[in-house]
Amino acid sequence: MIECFDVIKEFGKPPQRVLHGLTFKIDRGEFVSISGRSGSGKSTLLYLISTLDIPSAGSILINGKDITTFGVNELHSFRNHFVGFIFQFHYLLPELTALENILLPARNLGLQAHYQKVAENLMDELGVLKQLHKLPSQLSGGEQQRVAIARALLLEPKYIFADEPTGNLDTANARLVMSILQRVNKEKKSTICLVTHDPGYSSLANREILLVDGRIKT
Amino acid sequence: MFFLSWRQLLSRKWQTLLILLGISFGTLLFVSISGVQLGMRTFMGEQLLNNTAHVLISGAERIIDPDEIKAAFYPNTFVKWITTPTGLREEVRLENYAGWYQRLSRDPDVVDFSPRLSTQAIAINGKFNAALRLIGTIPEKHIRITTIEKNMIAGSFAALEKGNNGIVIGSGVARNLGTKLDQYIQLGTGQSEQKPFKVVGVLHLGNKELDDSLAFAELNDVQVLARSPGRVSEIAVALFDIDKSADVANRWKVISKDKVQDWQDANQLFMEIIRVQDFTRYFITTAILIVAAFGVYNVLSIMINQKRREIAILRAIGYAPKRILELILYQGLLLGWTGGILGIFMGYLLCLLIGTLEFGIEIHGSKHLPVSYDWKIYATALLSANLAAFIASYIPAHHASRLTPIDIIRSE
Repeated sequence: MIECFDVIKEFGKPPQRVLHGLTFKIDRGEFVSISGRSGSGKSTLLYLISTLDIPSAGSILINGKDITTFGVNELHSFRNHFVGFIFQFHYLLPELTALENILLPARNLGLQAHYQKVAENLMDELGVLKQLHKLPSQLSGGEQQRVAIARALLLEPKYIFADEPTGNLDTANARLVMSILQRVNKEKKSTICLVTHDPGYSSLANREILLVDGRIKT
Repeated sequence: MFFLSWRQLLSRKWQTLLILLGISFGTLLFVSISGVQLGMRTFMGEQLLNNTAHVLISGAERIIDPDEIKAAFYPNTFVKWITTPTGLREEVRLENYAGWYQRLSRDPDVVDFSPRLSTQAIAINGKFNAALRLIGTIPEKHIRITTIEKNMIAGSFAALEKGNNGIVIGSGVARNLGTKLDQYIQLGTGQSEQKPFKVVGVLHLGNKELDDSLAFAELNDVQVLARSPGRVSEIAVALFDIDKSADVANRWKVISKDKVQDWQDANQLFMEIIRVQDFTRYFITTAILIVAAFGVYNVLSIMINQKRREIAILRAIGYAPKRILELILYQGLLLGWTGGILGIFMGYLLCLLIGTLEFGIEIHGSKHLPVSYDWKIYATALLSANLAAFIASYIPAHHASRLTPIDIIRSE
């Protein structure tokens, strides 16, 4: 469970407040969309609850533990074991093949051989099995994003944070990505936080957190 | 992270190759310059050690002091010398040879020692004569403490036997006297009648001055010739560790009035030349490795700037800062090791090539330049290349490890 209490985020000098005291909960296994117009603070909120950033004030608890109390090793271990990230830009490593990119989280644990079959199954499910040994530069945009999703799902994380995962895709690929996220949420019971400005995709989630100028609109 | 480092290096083939060449070139130069310099140094050192020793103990030269003579013979008298007395007070001899013999026999640092009597002599063969620096020695001991047998171009040093009046002469002496192996020459010291000596060996040190004047005979034969029975002018000592020469010499100086000199002290000009050579060698190599290190630094810094997104995703999926540091450091070390190994291999080949080139001087019976293949040269070269690469890669690696994923994502 993710709990936010009066979360404030400010940037720059003099400080400009982007998030204004947000308080909300995301239950385990929930599929939540964070939506709003550009500049409303939705990506900032996602980075906070995904442990990539820390709040200027307030507290964020994941399973009852304040994320600001995580040490460096604990933080990276948490991300490695429990978190999967999907960004708008795939962020694949260009010198690695699709399979090697997917295995990166497992490689960090020294378990790449153990997860090889899991990765291949995921690629098969996502329809990119034929691209196993291709470099990202040899894949289409949709294929690259599907490889990035497979990387995020490899260790079956409890939390998946997706920042505009369909932003760079055509309609067909965007629908495919959304259906994959829905399936993972249902089958693996992963908690999914999706940032999107598209009301169509936002409606696919169980619940929507709508941000307007850094405040939750209920 | 090694796997990822390797793949990232491979993905930038040209940059990697250029940096490898820079490191290899620096290492190659160090190996080849050091090989030639140390080869020459070893050769020259051997020549010096043949002529001296690790430590040479000789009688102190006592010079006549006019004031001492005045005080002894004309006390309380004004003396005006028409010719001021000068020169040695007596012939140079060791104060206590027996004492040295006992001490050296027991000293754990000493391999062996050879008593010598060094004197001036004239060699005559028919109408030809030559001034010699004749050294009387015990052949089997002399062979143990020097490499002189390697310098024999005819006969053998071991053929010198007590009472046989055998002599080993320098190649220049043999040429000037027009003599060769098994022929007899006449030897005299000016204080005795001439005696016939049989040439049992000819040596060639490659040093014209020595080859034109040096001769060896058995110690007793020289003592008889010089009419100085039992006299020893010096003891040449070989140590297990040549680098301890100065320490051992200093230790012995304290306990005797005799002159104790280590080989470096006795050859200060030579040591000074070596120091200048070493400085030049290290200066050139350091300059090249610094240039290569800047190359490593630049390439890795540019790479980190280009790979900010990848670093961000690695951090986001759980790669700790330490792992990012490893990612960059491994690339530097891979460049260092590969460039270093390539460099020492090419340096070795270059040394082999240099060793086949002919030069004007003859060394050890060959006209090829002496080249050292001492493992320490190769180890130093490899370590230097790696140290340069490590330092050059640590700075960008440290910078990369401090990048946070959120800073990178926001700046994209």
